[in-house]
Parts: sequence; structure tokens; C-alpha cells
Amino acid sequence: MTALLQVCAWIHDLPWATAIRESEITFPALETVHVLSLGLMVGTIAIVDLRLLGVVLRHEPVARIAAPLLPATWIGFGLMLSTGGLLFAAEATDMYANPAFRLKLLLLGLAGLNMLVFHFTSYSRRVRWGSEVSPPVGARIAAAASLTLWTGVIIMGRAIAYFHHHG
Amino acid sequence: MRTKLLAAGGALILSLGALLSPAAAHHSFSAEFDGSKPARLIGRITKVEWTNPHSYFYVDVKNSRGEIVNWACEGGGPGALSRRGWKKGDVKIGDQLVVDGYLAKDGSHTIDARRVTLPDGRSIYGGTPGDGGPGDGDVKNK
Amino acid sequence: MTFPGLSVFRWLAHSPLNAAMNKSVWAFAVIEMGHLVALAVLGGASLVLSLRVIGIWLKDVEATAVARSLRPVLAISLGVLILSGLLLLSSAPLKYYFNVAFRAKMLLLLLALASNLAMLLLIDRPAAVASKAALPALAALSLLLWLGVGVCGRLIGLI
Repeated sequence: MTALLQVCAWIHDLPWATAIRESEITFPALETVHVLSLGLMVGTIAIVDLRLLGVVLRHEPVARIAAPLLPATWIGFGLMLSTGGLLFAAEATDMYANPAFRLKLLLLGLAGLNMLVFHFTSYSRRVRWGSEVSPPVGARIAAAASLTLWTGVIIMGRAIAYFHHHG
Repeated sequence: MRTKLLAAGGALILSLGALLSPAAAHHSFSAEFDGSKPARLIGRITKVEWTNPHSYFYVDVKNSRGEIVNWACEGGGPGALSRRGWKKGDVKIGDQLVVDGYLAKDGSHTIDARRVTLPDGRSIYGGTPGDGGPGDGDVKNK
Repeated sequence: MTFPGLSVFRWLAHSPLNAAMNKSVWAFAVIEMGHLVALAVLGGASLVLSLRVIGIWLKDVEATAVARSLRPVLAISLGVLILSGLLLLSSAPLKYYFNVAFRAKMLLLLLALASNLAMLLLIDRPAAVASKAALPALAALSLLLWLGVGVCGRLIGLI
């Protein structure tokens, strides 16, 4: 058993993780909040991406659109991370072996990385181009990548159920 | 033009999803189980997984050649089963279970437990609610 | 009061579409994924529109301009949701017909559509007497109703 699998097995067997796994209401409730928080997190990210691609609100400066939405995105992220963490713990050993879950984490990491890079490069120079209808190529690539990666995260998240192992 | 590009991108991503959906997709009865292959298993419980999103009951069943084969019976989650009166402690290892259901399409020893007769004689609808299988949606199977 | 449309659901249950959805091993999965992605987009678009109407976001831009800009996104994501929803429904129409969560979802969907439509119409009539008080209320109501639709959608597979 690899070290990682051992950690997952230890998490899986924790009393509270087991309680969630065997729960009647908690697990379904956590899952429901997890899925619906998508609208908050990915939804607000998508609006900013669409602005960067010149699809919506093209005559408004990017910062005026993005900055006020950040709190909503962070709240959404907090909800997804906390519910996701609890759901993961309840099925830790299953998730270890689940290819869809692994791919989801990879895409999630890439999506985060993409946002970080954008934030410290193109976005930091927004004074120069923020009011343009069509932002620089780097910003548009970041936006397209963001939409693609988050869509991938959603798809992989749903695909997890199709790779559940039992036995 | 931009919206068309986005739509094309979206279609591309969905095809990715299609490529990655395996042949044994769960979560729609018809994807995993064969509605034309009903079966009845009678056997002794060897393992109970009272878990979300599905419960699993493993039973040792004697086949036509007299050999013991272990089968996995897939049921709804604890919430769904509990609402039908089947509580966690109602079955133990060694108990006899009668499972009526449909065989898995992939040929593995898996059956979806549509109707389970418990050791105490009760007959419980074991299916995952909303999975589209036979009996799903019937008032008597709530 | 019975839920309307039993005969339509019955007809759908015996349609070639139903057969195709059940024959395919991947159709339901892929279509459901599309349903989820569209859900995220609609969530974002309707949230920001409501935030504008309530006055929290993009305050110095005309609400009519914001609405006009977001309309295509709202329309397309809603269109994808409805189309994919119909396809998912066709895989087992009677199962959904008898499902209480599905019925509640459909009712809330109608109310959400009505609420959003009323809000969009009022946005374009800023001089109307009803606007000032009604708009923020409609904005909040619309969000709550969409949330309800989402929750009921999830409950379909749980009850």
C-alpha cells in the first residue's frame, strides 16, 4: 500500500467520516450544497471570463465587473472546498482509486494556477487595457482556459459516480 | 461570432465527457443493469456496506453446479432504505437474504436489489430512487 | 389536483426518443453533464443580474444595459437546461411524472421563469410606478426560486 493510500484509508475510517458515509441525511445534504454552490463559484468566474472574451458588458472596465464579484466567488469556493473535503473524507479510499476524481483534482489545480498566473501578469496591467472591448491576447487565452478547465472540473465531478468501485 | 466559438468549445468539452464515460456507467438503471434479465438470488450475507451513495450487500449463492459464488447486491443509500423501514441493524452477516432484481450488463456477479426479503420476512423495495428501473416511481415502492 | 400531462408522459415513454436514450450507455451521462454546466452559467448570470437590480453590483451602469448584455447568456444557458432536461426526462418519463421532487421542480421552474420575465420587463420600464419597490423584490425572489429549482432537481434522485 502506498503512503497516500494509507492516509486515505486512515481518513476513510475516521469516526466522523464513517458517520457521513453511513448517514441518512448528511451525505445527500452535503452533496446538494456542493453541486448548487457551482452556480455561485463557477457562475461568477464565468461572467468575468465572458467579459474578458468580449461576450458580455464589453463597454465596462474589467475591474469594475470583476472586483465586486470576488467575494461571491470566494464564498462559493469556501462552500465547495468544505463540502468537497467532507465528501472526500467519507469516501476517501474510493476517491484514491477513482480516475475521474484524480482528473478533477488535476483540472482544479490547473484552473487555480491559470487564475494565479492571470492575476499576476495580465490582470496586474489592467489599467492599460481594462476599458478595452477586447483585452490583450494573454487575458483572452486565460479566460478561454478558465471556462474550459472549470467545465472539465464539473464534468469530471459528475463522472466520479461512474467509476465507483465496490467489493 | 464569439458565442458560436463558445458553443463550439462547449460541444468539444461535452464530447470529452462522452469519451470518458465508461461502458459500465452507473446512475441510470438501464446503463448498468439489464431490464430483460430478471433474477432471484437466495444466499447468506457475507458483508454489508451500509453506505452512500449506494448500499451493497454481498451474499454467497449456490449456483446450478453447486458452487458457492459471491454476489454484490446494489441498493439505495441509507436515507432511501431507512424511509422504507430498513434500518442498518436489520441484517447481519450470516442472515439469509432473498434478492429479486436485474443482472448487471457487464456480466459481473452484480444485481440491483429491487426487492429484498429480509430475515424477518419483510419485503422491502431496495432500488435506488429515481434510477428508472422497473417499479421505480410505483406508489407502493415509495 | 393531479399533475397535468399524464397522457403526454405516457406517449413519451413509448417514443423512439425513449428507446434511443435507453439503448445508449452514455447518452444520459453526457446530457446530464451538459445540464450541470448550463446550471453553473445560468447561476452566475442570474446572480449578477439580480445583484445589479438590487443595487450591489455595477451600480453606475444602467440596469437596462446590464440586462441587455446578459440576456443572450441567460437565454442560451436556459435553452440548454430545458433541452437537456427534456432529453433526460424522455429516458424514463413516468418515473419523473410520479416523482414528487420532479413535480415541485417543474412548478418552481414555472414560477422562476415568470419572476425573471417580470423582472426583465420591468427593468425596461424604469418610469413605471411599480418598478422601484417591485424590482429588488423580484430580483431576490428570482434567485430564491432558481435555488429551489436546483434543490428539487437534486432531490429527484434522493426521494
